[in-house]
Amino acid sequence: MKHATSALQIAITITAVFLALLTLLESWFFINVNPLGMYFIVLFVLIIIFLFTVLFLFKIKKLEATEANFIDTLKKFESNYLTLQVEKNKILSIITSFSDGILILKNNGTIDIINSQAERILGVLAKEVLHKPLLDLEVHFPRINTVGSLLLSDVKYSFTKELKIEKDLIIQIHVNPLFVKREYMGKLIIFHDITKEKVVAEMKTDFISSVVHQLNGPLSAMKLSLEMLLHGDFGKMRKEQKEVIEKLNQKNKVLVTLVGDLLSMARIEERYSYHYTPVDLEGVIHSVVALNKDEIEIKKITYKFEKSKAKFPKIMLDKEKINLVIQNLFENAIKYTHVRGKITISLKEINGNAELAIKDSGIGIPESQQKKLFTKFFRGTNATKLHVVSSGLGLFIAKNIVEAHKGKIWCKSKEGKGSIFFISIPMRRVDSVRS
Amino acid sequence: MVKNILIVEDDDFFRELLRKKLLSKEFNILEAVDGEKGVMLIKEKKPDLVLLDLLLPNIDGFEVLLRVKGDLSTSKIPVIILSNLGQQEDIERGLKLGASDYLVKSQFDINQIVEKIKTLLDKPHA
Repeated sequence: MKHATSALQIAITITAVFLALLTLLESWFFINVNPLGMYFIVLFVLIIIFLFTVLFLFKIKKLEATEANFIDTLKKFESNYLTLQVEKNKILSIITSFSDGILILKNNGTIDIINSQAERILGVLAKEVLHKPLLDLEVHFPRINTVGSLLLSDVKYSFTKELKIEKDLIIQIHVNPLFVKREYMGKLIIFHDITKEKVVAEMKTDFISSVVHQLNGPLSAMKLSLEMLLHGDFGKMRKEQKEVIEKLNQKNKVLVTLVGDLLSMARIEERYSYHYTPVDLEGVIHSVVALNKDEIEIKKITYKFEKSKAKFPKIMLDKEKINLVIQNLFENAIKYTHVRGKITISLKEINGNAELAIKDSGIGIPESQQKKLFTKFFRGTNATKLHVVSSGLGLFIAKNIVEAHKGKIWCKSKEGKGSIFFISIPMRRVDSVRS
Repeated sequence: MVKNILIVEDDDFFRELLRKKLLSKEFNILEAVDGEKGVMLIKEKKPDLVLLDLLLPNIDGFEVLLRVKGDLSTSKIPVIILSNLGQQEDIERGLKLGASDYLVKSQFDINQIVEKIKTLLDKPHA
């Protein structure tokens, strides 16, 4: 409004000056008696006044409109600012009361926000560390020293890592880089205390291991004695006795397999029992095959390993568990392939995933039963007729492990022709994560 | 020449079965029921081969292996681990400590175990 008022004042002033000059000129013409001249001058003046008036009115309107828009915009900004303040306070409340530790690092490595849980985990007080560079704090605070290199790594994607900060403190650290319109702004770090879960998981595993080992002792002795009975080490048996002992031996083998698989299941179902290290997948395949070479030779199976000439890169996996997956799949391939059959393992990289395929020329799986393949205790009807020892847990265990690695497992099979089991796991390479 | 095999196994029944089987294959058998006795017999008697369980009283099989392989006078004696422990980390640990082979009891039958023993005994040891 102020601008519009100023414009009006200027217009009035100019008009007043103009009219004063005009009056002087009119007076001169009146004195010198020139009516025509006077007429034209008056007409000219009226036109000028009219044009100026229109122009000024237009300008004033425009200024008023601009002023109104400006005021509207200011009001909107104010409203947005208030909304942002409310949202910021909400977020700060959430961060403060979150059960996990939250730390926000700016792109210059200084601590922007830290909540009370993060203070507890890092053994610091907010006032000691806020707005200070993390690098400088490493010297003074031992726990920050432990996690510092991880938090300051120049990796620009999200990752999770488990770290034992102290004897009684194990945390899972999630690091999430923050970007605004592709510009790196800093990092959001979440500290999740998993000490209790780890302790409970270890206790559970220890308990189950202990039970399994207690069971394995008598089962092994039973296995050995039954085998020796069947081999005639305790003298010749009657036909009926031998048949019973053979059945007992089979049942015992099932029990041994089941106990072993129960231990595996207990381990794979623990969220925190996965330990990722750089793993040479080719090496794992070779060692599984070597472990089963006796069986391959006995059944005269033709085995082939297909892969590219270049060495397959190491990828981050839980070696023991992946070994178990490949072992289960390879063992199944051997069990359900006839004498002189074929097994082929192939390994390749497809769209950033390591894809492993184990193909056999065995009995295959009936199509109607393929949907239940990866469920607990599943065994195909044609498989049970073979009297092969199996707990029915191997594929369930394999699926759990592969999915824990964010991968997929699937099967293509035709009854009587054979099966191909595929596993696909994202390739998190060693060189893409700075340790 | 009759070969001497030392069985280090705390399960009496299992040890008895192994002894019976190996005697039938004309081996001479020595026995130890715990880790300490196992180490003592290995150093005294220098058997041609040791069948070693891992879960043993006193010191475990890994410690036995460590001591035996750490002693020049016994380091060349082949040791086959015969255990219920079947986890990959245990197998790797046993082989790394110098075991010539690692057999999980539930995965091998007695004849396979005997074949492994014969194969190792037939190998020349430098």
